[in-house]
Amino acid sequence: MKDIHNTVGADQYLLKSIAEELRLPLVQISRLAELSQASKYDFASNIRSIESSADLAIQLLESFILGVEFSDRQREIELSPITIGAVMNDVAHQLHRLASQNDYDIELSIKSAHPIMGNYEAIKMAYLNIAHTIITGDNSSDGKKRKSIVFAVYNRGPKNMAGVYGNNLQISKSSWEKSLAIFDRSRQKMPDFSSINGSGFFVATSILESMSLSLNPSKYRGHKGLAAAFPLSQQLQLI
Amino acid sequence: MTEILFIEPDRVLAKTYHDYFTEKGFKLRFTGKAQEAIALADKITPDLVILELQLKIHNGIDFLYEFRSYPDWQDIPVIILTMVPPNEFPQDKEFWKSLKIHKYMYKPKIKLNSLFIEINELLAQKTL
Repeated sequence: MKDIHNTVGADQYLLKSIAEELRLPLVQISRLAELSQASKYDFASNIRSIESSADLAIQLLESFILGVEFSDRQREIELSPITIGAVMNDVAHQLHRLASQNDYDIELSIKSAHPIMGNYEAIKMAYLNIAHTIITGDNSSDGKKRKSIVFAVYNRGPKNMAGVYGNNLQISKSSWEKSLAIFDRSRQKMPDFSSINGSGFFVATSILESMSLSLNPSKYRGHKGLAAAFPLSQQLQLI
Repeated sequence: MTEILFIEPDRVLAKTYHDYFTEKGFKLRFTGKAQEAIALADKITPDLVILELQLKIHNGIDFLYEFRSYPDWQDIPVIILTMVPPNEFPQDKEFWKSLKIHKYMYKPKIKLNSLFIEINELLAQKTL
């Protein structure tokens, strides 16, 4: 798997990608604010939507900053014993409102509780971005099918696999490789998405790569998604 | 009542346009997919189409080529309201003419009120 920082040569392409992606929440906020001034219709709902759009934009920016600081060694990646299941549980809870606003059901499938050495906040931020991207990447309301997002943690050999999967996502090894290859040239980097360009996936890749982890396309119970393999700590298992 | 077929993949924006233009007295039908838009157009025969170009699977230009291939839909005006910036949108007049694009509008810079004014002007021209 390519290193996102090497792939793009510098963080400027990632920053451009994020700037393009941030146009959507900012346009949403601007139009919702105009609607709220022009109409008395559903004012509370407009305010909730403004809050969600702003939160998504902040999350993406904060994650980008974290990824850059880690990769430039401006910030120390402090490791401590954690379980990936706990991180995923936290992410799933945090996403509850966004998921329900977009007609997504959340499912947690934690089949491994082995401890690993990792940075809880950084891993959480990476998975939040993956999940945000899956949910907002296809937030159209005209589909008849109920959408679902699955947070899964399971063992594969000496590693803990942790992935986020969606029943609406069509990501494959080749489409992911193509997306990384056209990262610095294409507006629509992910063929699955229309309104956004999938920057959250690239920001998550950047954060995980700074911890020597790579994000790869994966399948879980028929759903496609992205997952990373976390090496299990032999010492921690003895505790 | 004027019926608008709005091809907008983002749910938040779709709801915003819906609430604003419904209050202004328009009837709006939304979809985020090109194929569904063709099916909807067949069902309702809209007075106007507003189209985002960045769609999943088939893009907005694919939709336009198919839409304009039907004789009954030649005179239905189409406004492109898109996230694709002006420097990336074809400026070739022949392209505009062949697909009968009434207007290109860059979504980040088009307020609801500007779109409302544009739609009213367009509909006024149509009835003349």
